Amino acid sequence: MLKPSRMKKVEIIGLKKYKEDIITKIQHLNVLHIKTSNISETNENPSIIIHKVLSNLEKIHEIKQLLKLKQNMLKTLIGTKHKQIELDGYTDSAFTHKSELFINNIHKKTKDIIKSKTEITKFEENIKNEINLLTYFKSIHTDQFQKQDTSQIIKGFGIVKVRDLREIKKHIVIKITRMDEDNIYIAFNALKSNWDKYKTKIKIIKTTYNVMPLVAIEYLKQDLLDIDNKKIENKNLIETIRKKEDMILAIEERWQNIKTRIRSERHMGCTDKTFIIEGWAPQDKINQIHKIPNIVLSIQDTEDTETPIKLEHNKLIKPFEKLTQWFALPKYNDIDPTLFIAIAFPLFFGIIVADIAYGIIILLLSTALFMKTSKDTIKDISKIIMTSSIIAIFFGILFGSFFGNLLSFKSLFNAMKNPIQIMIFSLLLGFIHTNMGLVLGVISSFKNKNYPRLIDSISWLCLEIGLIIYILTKTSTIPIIYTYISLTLITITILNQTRKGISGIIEIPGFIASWISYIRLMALTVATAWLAFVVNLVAISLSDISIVLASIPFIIGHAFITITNLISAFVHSLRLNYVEFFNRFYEGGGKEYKPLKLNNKYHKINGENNGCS
Amino acid sequence: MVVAEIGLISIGAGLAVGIAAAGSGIGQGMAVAAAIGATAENENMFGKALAMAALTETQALYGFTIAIILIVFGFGLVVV
Repeated sequence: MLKPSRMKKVEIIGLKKYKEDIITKIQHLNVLHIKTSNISETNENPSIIIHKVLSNLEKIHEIKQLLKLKQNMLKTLIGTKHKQIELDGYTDSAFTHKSELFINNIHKKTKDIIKSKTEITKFEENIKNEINLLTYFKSIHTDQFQKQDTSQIIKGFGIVKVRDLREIKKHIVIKITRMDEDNIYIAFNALKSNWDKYKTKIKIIKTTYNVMPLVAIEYLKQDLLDIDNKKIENKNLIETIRKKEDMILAIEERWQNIKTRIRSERHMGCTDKTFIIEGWAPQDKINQIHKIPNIVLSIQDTEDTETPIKLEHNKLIKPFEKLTQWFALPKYNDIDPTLFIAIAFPLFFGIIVADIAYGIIILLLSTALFMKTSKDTIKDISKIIMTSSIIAIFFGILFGSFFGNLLSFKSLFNAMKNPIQIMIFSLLLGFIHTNMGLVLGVISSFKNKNYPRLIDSISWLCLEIGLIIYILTKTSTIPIIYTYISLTLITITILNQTRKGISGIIEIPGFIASWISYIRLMALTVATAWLAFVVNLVAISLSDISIVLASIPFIIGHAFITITNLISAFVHSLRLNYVEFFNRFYEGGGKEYKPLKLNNKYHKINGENNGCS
Repeated sequence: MVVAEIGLISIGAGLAVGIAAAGSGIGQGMAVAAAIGATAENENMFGKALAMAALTETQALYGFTIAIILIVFGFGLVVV
């Protein structure tokens, strides 16, 4: 639990004629993380197949992009639940043929829709611009300026610069319809003999319809309505494709499985007749590899830092692995901090929220999200928030807080009346948390023989013990010898830090500041309590007028506090773990364990993924 | 005299929160912009970016803590 799952190093040697069969079986087993081999001689590149696979996946990606465009933020967050499609009867060659036909057909429709959408957007923009421009010429009601050029006269609408106006006016009949800082909008009527001279100074406005501006605007508005109809048509076409989304995803998943299998071959070493696969498998699943026929197998213990990392925890702690992953996976011989973060994160979250009502609301919201979502990451985060909100309810009882001070009952702490009590509690928690990090730092550095880091961790412990003893000598009557002991311990830390230069000296106040950083737990709790108090005050004062009126600031205010509280509690709890705790012992940098496997979330083939026969 | 002291304490508390929050806000804006950029380039940066974005908020929280301490102890002394 405090270390990543134990792995074994595996080498599989086989004859090339069995290669595809062996790889397929390894893929079925879902246990072997393949390593890039360094003994490759003639590694073949199955380029024709991979080209086909990539081309099909690219087409599916384009289709999915089109379907995604219509999703709103909430839907993106929640995701869509999909059926698992049975692809029975789809043997490899039949699958290739059938799926290509299916995907090509939808891809063609997708391309047409995308093309149509691009044209519509461009057309719509042009029409809107034209309508905007024509509104400047609304005052033109005669055909004196209407664009119907004769052999002698040129008519139309245009834009001229202010500086050119005087000269143009002398030779061309114009009517000014609008002026702004730089441009003048004019309707003009010019003799062809003059036109060549001035045409460079008039920027002609091209119009779709040769009618009066007001009529043209009406025609253009009609065109906009036609565009709306076209949009609806496209939307319906997208919905038709969406109905086939389950099948598209199933086919994509199968192609992905084929791609993974082909790609894995790149990581194998080959000779003329044999191939070798190197990799790692979890110790408890190593027996499954023994069942693969026609191979020579070598299994060794490993302490290699290259070994991929598989975190393994029980159901309650498992979601918190996500928080460890967000920072960085541990190295193979490092301590896995998931257990610690699974304790500290909900605790800090609970203290920051510390309200029965907010805790219940957050619990309900996260439960709803957990039930609705189809995304694994969102499920994990929902579970983390569910656990944390239960702790928030517990601290709400301790702090006597229900929507702030709405219900008053006897409690152990009170964020508004006695914030100092909570400050001391927060600092005490911070002291325990940072010291736990230091102790883990000592253990980890000792095990990994990282002696400079070991000395650092011990010296910080010396500083803390020294400071505590020193304070005790000043506040109570303990023998003078303890003063000397404390000063010696503090000096050891200072000397160790001096060794690193100025940055080392600066680290001493930084070390104390990182402990004081836990004061944020109190600050955020008190801020929440006071915000809730203000919202209640406004609502209660309005309740004399009307209960309905009072409920508006009450609901909006408390909804706002709940959301901000949820975000700040999450971010600050995470920050305290990442910055103040992890910094003491954790480096990270492990590579994720990704076994060669068959994905079957969206599709199912009887006999596939059932292990090795 | 007491009224003046209460006023000064209140101004002090307000300045502690206001100035700290303003500086923190400016800093957080810069940090979050960079964090979003980093996450857009590499999704694995999300966790670290989130924590780093919260780093600058610390100063505002310290300001708030000082304000609380000023009010709790300051008002207490004034009343006494």
